[in-house]
Amino acid sequence: MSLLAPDLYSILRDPSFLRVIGVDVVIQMVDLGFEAGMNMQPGLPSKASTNGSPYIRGGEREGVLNKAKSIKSHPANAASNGEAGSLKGDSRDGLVYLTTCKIGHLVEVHLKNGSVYSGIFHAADVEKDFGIILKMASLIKDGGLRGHKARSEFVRKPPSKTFIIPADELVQVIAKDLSISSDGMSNAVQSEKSGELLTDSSISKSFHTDQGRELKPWIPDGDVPQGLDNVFDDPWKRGRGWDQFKVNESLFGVKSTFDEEIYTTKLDRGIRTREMEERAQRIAREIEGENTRDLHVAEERGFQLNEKFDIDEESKYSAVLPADAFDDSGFDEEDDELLDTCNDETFGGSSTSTVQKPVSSSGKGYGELRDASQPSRNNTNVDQMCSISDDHAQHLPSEQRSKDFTAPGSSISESQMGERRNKNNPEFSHSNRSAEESVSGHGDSKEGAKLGGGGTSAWKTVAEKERQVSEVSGKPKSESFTGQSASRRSSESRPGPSTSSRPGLSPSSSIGSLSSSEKSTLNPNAKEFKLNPNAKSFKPTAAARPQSPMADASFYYPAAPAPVQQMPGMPLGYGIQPQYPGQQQMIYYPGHQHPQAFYPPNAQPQFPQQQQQMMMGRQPRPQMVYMPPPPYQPDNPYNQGRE
Amino acid sequence: MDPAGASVANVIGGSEGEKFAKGNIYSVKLITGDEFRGIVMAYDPIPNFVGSKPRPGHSKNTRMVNVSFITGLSYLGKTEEPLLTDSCWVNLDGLRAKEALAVRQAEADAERMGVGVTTEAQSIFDALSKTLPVQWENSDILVMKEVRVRSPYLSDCVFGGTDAANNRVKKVLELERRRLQLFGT
Repeated sequence: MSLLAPDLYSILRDPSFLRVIGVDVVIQMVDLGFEAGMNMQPGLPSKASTNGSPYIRGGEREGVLNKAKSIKSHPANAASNGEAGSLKGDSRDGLVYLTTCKIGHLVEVHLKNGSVYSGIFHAADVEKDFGIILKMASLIKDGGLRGHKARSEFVRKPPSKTFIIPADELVQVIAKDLSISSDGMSNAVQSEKSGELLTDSSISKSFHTDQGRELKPWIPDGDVPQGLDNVFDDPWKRGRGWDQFKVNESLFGVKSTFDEEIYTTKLDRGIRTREMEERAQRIAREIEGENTRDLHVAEERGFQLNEKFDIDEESKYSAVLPADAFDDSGFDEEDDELLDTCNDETFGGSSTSTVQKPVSSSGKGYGELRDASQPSRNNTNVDQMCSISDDHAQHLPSEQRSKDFTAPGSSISESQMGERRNKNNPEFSHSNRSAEESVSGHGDSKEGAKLGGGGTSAWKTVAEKERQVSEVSGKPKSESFTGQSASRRSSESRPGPSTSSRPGLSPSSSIGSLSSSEKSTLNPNAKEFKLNPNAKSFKPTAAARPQSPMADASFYYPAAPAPVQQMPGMPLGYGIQPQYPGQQQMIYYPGHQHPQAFYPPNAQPQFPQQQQQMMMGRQPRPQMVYMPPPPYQPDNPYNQGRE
Repeated sequence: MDPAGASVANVIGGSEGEKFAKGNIYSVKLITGDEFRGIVMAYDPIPNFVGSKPRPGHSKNTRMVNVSFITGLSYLGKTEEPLLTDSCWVNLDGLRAKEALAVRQAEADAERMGVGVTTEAQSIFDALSKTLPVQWENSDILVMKEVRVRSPYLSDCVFGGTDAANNRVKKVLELERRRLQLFGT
């Protein structure tokens, strides 16, 4: 109580006197009174309470703490009070302690007349008779009235700022949810926290748990198996000290089939065990001590790798690649693998989609057919190429790559290639857009030649029809030409946007792939190359000059000059002409009719390239390529005549 | 101050020291009709008070009971002496702070209580205060310092304020009244 005495004393001496309704109450605030001691406030109008119960009129003002009028009856016990040896003292101590704990707490006070008041416990007369003072007390239940008033009529009264209850009216004081523990700190701290700042832990904390209680070591009852104290200390002892299976069996008759070796590697605990262990430890230490540049490994080792502190959690742990992560340098290798993996899917998968490409309308259908006639040849190229590429996985793409980037005499950029592909795409797009999109579903991320994929898919469908196409080449030609020109015209608009939309996007659906089309000419979406033995070899004609490879594919097939001349749209091809050089990578192959030799797996560019190649095989060809065909003069031979 | 004025029945014999020894469990009945069980934590015959705490498992309601008013007492058993030891200490500063806080809160609450108003009025006030700033002015509810709601706090008792404010208060009042009727407060 020594700690308690002085301060409590001052608290208990801090009464506020109030006029309680109808009652003039005198409370004598006293100190603990364990021993006589100092006289506290001189000049108080009161006198010591040694002689009984002095009465003091309290201050009239409500809510005013009237220290001046406080009574200091007993001399305070300022000194440490160690020897309150009497029983009285002890029990008093307990009560005083309890009382003190209640300070500031909301309590319910029952009075003799049945009234119940609720207020904040402020002070108590512990010396005398335990009268108490409440602050902000309000009447909860009025015992003074007979019966119960109707609720609505119950008129509220404002709470009394200070309310004094004499002991002889006090029946009991109930403090709800007050934690009484040896540690007084808990009381204050708890309430402080709850009032001012609600931390999550304090909110969720149960009020009934004692905070910071004294821990005592656990002493077993006696019916606990012995020898368990050090069970977990030495892992090797596991087999000897405590065998849970044996215990289980003895206690419950449960037979266990546990075999440790099922779950783990059997350790070879032989003679050289220690040696091996040490070796293992050494290796482990070496590994762990290695320098690492990996952020995560370093973190695990507690090792701050990056001094730059602007690396936030997102960049450290996010699985989303940053936008600029695309690395051209590593593209080759990735591309190769990607190709190989993608090839099969795309080529294989696309075939199904293409089946649904019926040749519907005549014009369109023919367009397709014609478009496909050449492509079909290239298709076979593609297929075969791909199959070859599967075999020589590493070689072909690299070859291809070298060609791509070292095309001599051509300053073709990838964009142009892409453009070309773009151009190709629109031709087919309106005819086989669905195929393209279904192909694009294959998730081409690197290859921009979705167009090729789309194209090839279309090509494949018509591959079967190729024969028919060639057979009906005569008549449909004219129609096809018109259709072709029409399609070309319609597609004319496409190149515009496609070219303009480069380098990033193309009108086609395969935007993502196109963006990377600059990087590679390989088309993962290209259909698998299947050699078509019936493919007619290409015989370029003088005027054979496709402005858009796709569209003009059929033109080259029949190798008839007339059709070529009937391409009024040819001039428009000029705009695309520059693309052509991009295809020149193929030109080094000797002109040959057999697509088999065409290794590059890229179907799309290959097609025009092949044509290119055919044409480029002869020197005069190139010039013809770039030169606009002579204007159409159907009656050319007769012109001279007229002349 | 005559404790004998109360009807007291000190039923338990034995010396004072044994009665209400710490750790005893009693079932107590008071003259107010209250009954409870508790473990004696402290007892002081001079003021004749016993402090008890209820059996563990219940909410901790610590009581201080004036023994003079105990009408019935039955001994239930004995447990170990509860937490109190000589090493108890109390953080007085913390307690003071706690009290100050509690008083502040109580005063704030008191502001919200109308003086001399019916419970119904009070509940209307409380309901309004959820969404509008309200204060008591005698027995009128002053909303947003402009609109006044007089007794008996019906929609036609709303005066003052701008039209918009007035209408808003009327509306809220209507709704709250309806809700109160529905749920019976």
